[in-house]
Amino acid sequence: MNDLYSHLWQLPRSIDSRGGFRPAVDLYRREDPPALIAVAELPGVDPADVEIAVADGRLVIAGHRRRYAAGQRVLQLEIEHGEFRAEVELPEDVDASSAAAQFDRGLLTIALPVAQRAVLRRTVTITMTRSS
Amino acid sequence: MSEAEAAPVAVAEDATTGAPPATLDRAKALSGLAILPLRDTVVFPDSLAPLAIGQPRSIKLVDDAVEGDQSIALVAGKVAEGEATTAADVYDVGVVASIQKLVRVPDGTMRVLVQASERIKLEELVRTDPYLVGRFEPAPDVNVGGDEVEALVRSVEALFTKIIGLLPYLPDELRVALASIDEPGSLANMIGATLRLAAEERQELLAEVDVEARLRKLTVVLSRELEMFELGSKIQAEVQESMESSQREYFLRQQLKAIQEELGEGDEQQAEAAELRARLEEVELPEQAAKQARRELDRLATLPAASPEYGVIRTYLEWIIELPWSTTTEDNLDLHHAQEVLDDDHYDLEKVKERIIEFLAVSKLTGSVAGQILCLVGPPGVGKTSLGQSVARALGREFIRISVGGVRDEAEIRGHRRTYVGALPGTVIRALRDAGSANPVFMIDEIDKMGSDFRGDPSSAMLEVLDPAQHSTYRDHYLDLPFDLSRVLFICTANQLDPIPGPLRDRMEMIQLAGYTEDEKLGIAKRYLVPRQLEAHGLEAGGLSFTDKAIRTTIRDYTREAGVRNLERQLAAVARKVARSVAEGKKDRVRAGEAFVRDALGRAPFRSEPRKRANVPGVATGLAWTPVGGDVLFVEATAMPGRGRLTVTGQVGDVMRESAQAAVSWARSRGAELGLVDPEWFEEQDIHIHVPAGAVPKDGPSAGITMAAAVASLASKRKVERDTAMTGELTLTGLVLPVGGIKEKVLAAQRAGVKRVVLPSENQGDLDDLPDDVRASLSFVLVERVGEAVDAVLTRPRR
Repeated sequence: MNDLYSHLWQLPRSIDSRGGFRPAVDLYRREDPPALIAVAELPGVDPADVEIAVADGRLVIAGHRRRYAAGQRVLQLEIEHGEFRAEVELPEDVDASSAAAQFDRGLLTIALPVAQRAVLRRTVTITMTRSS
Repeated sequence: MSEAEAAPVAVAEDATTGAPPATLDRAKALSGLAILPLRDTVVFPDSLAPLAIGQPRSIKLVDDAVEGDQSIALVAGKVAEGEATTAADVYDVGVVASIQKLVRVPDGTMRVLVQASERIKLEELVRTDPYLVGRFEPAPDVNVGGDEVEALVRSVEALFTKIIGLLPYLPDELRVALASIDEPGSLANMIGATLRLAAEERQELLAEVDVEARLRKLTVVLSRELEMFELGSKIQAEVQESMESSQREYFLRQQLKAIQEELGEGDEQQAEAAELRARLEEVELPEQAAKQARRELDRLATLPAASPEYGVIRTYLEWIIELPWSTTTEDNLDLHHAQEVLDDDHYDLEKVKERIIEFLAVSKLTGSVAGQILCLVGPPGVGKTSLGQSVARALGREFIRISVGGVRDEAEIRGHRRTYVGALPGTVIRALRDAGSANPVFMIDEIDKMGSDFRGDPSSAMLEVLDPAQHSTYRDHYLDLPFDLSRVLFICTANQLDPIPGPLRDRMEMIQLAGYTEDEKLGIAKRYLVPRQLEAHGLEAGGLSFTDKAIRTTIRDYTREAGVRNLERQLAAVARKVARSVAEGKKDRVRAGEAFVRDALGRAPFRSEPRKRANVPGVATGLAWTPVGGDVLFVEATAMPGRGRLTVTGQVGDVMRESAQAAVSWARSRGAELGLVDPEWFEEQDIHIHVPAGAVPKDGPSAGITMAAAVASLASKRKVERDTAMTGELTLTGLVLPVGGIKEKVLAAQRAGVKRVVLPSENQGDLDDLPDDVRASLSFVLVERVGEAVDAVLTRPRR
């Protein structure tokens, strides 16, 4: 219990909390074919509520997570909900137009092929294919 | 944030602007927001804030809000949390927030984490029960932008960066967060949210919709905080420092005390002070000294023993206690006794003894011995120091002796001020302490050899010691108290009069000791030196005796001095050889005759020189005065074909060189007149005058007539009479002027085997000082003009 309170009373993880909470994101590099693989921790999020985009060399994952159920008396509330937003700096240029995103068991996996030549820096929205 | 459900996040070109778009839903939601009044805090837009909810009204509000997944309005209250029931009880500007996390605490209260989003303004209260509900309007930032805002942003950023480093509660990650914000309004919010400010101040910042004005306020706040923090840390550092040093000192003292107790010396300091006090009461001090001593003793009692000052004061008090302020010895003013003692100790020296007896006689009549400073001047080994001892013995006084030869520092005489580390009183006060009486015979040796340099002039310090008008209140730098020296009988000794500074010479009564004649030396040897050496070599009781002839031979051929030191040494050498024979069992009594002495001492280093040297024309024997007595010297002149030039050699000084020139000029100008020489002879000759020994520096005018005699002898080819020596200054007109040191010179002449001495007639009075035997053994020629002198010393031409 004490841990719980102390966690609550700690200064917020993200000081600038505009855009809601920030899900954890892993980033990998795959060699063949060269690609950056981003994995975001988004359990309980409806894939339809997630937007993915690459802009200015950054991967932006944003959306919102609905609460389990409204209209019931709440005894404890710990799971972050509402808007979220994660931005990840990409170390290499990627070909966002050929990126693929998958959602599986609460993890959002985005494969971003490394661009073979310089690409135009513009915002590309990535669409997600839902895993079976 | 249930309102935001339907709003998909648009990823715009500018990815960092995350302001949610206003929608109709939103406006509708704002029309009926539950108001959570906050106490002592203000939540800024776009921030997370942990809140403790304790009031039943607020708990109900939160319960309802999370149940319905509703946003709430966070508004600072002007009264305590549960008492806000009207619009007047809360500020009208707040934020809209969603409850992110919620935990119930067993005591019935709850902790919630709220996520604030945008600023809202209360338009009107909709309900007041069971909690406040109001209609709000968004109150977005108004940012006109421009250089001014940009400048303010930079200034705020710089100030805040500085504060992050200083305030311990601000994490360093804030710097990163700060860098990532590029919207002035958000920057202000973030800073307002993280700084710990008074609620009113935070509210003011929150309520300010104009970004520029908000940044201005923030600048003021930040500057003030920075200043406060710096002041605070300065005060803290100061407090800590003083605490630390006083604590440290206390701690060390306690330790010291514990150690002292352990060693059983806890009260040593008190004991020491008490002992000093007791000793101070015992000694009889002049009032001023007693006062000063009491004052210092009181100071000592308050000082810790470890303090450096403690040792200084203790030493000072000990000096005061040990000085003979009023301890005196009683004078023995029996004149017969004094005469006996002096005669016992010293052979002859009648004039000196007479002076001392006179001094005692005056003291006896006046009943005081004040104001007497004698100075014994004479060559080494004539008994100056031992005379001082005899005076002390005759008077029954303590005898102390200091030597000031080579002393160059005034502080040696008068001491160092007590402020210096290791300061001590001067040598005068130190000697008085050693004497233990305030009226000793105080001998100051070698007063003519005192130096002076940049450190000061010790002879000036000596003036105060030796001035009868001042020395009754002699003040040593260390003691800094007047000490009465007027009861002291000062006797100084010197080899020469000239180096003693005039003012010092003025204050002393000079007694000249010229040195001994052969007869006197014989007497001294028989009465003092021989018995002493016999004792020193274990030859008493007739083991060795000297004939008078043997002693005279030793004096004449083995020594050449004014005093008797070398004589004693030579007698010791003889005694040693005899001691060896006796110890080896070869002999048991020896009577040393002349042959025995010559055998024991080897080849004689000195010969009667005048006979040997002055047997060619151009050599004359002169007489010289030296600090160690008189001496004979030779002037050699020679001529060679040339053009009348004069060369003078032999380490002669300017004065002597000039008298050589005067002698030659006189001979050239008056020589013919006296029938000595053809003046033209000089024109074809170069004359060289040499004064051996060449390695000994010589100077002075008294060789004038000697040089004239040498030149006259050379020019006339008549030898100078053997066994004749001369002294006297020469003038160009041929007058002979008187010179000093006649007694020493005559004694030297006698020693050297001279039979006849030529002196200036004005020195006739000096002959009275000569011992009778000397006057009897020499003949004297007194001259007024050089002509007479030359006439007297040159051999008659052979007809």
